[in-house]
Amino acid sequence: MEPLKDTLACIARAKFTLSRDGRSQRGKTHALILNKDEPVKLKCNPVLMLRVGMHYEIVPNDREGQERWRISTRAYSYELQSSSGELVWSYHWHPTSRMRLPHIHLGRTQLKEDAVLSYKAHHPTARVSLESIVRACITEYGVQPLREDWEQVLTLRESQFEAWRRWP
Amino acid sequence: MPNTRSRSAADVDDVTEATRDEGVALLDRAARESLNISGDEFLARWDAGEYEDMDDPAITRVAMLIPFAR
Repeated sequence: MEPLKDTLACIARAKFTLSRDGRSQRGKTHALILNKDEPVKLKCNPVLMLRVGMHYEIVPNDREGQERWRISTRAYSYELQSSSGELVWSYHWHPTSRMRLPHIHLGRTQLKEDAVLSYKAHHPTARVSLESIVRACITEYGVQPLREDWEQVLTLRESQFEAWRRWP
Repeated sequence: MPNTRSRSAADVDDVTEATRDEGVALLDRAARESLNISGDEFLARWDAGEYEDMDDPAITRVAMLIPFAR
């Protein structure tokens, strides 16, 4: 959990909630959320809120010299909301559903009624790291970082994510 | 290299596991907020495959909580 905790700590004071036995039980898909699924208020003007959800599995680590077990992501949802709770965007990857590839949904309030882009369309993306979401909150949406070394932290944790992931 | 451990411990300090009852309540609340149905009804519809053409992000939001209730 340390990489995720470090990454989130760049912009949020939040607590992780895991599904039952989420620290120990292998062979099962677990869930991770922040603040009991309440969106986390970010330090910016206008106020934005972040909701993070992930599915993961505890799997054997076949790399020598490392921990015996590691966490493998099975799905993610990174959602940015306005202060009134309206969706701005949500990055999704939930490969057990019909839409197996990573994608983004754009919030209704961000679109004109006659826009070609729609709320329900799955706009394809590459796999998106939590680090890149946190970085975008800071650099693109004006969220005030909570630590001075946020760039170093995100770079470090993202490089670890890239080293460990099993697909692009 | 940044000192990651001390800061993360201060700012994102707690990792807790929900009990099954807490997990069921989490899913129920999300289903009611997002889809105006109970958590039990959401799970029944999910298991019946009614959400297979899952185009609505609101469904995904609730589906992300399914492991809490299983």
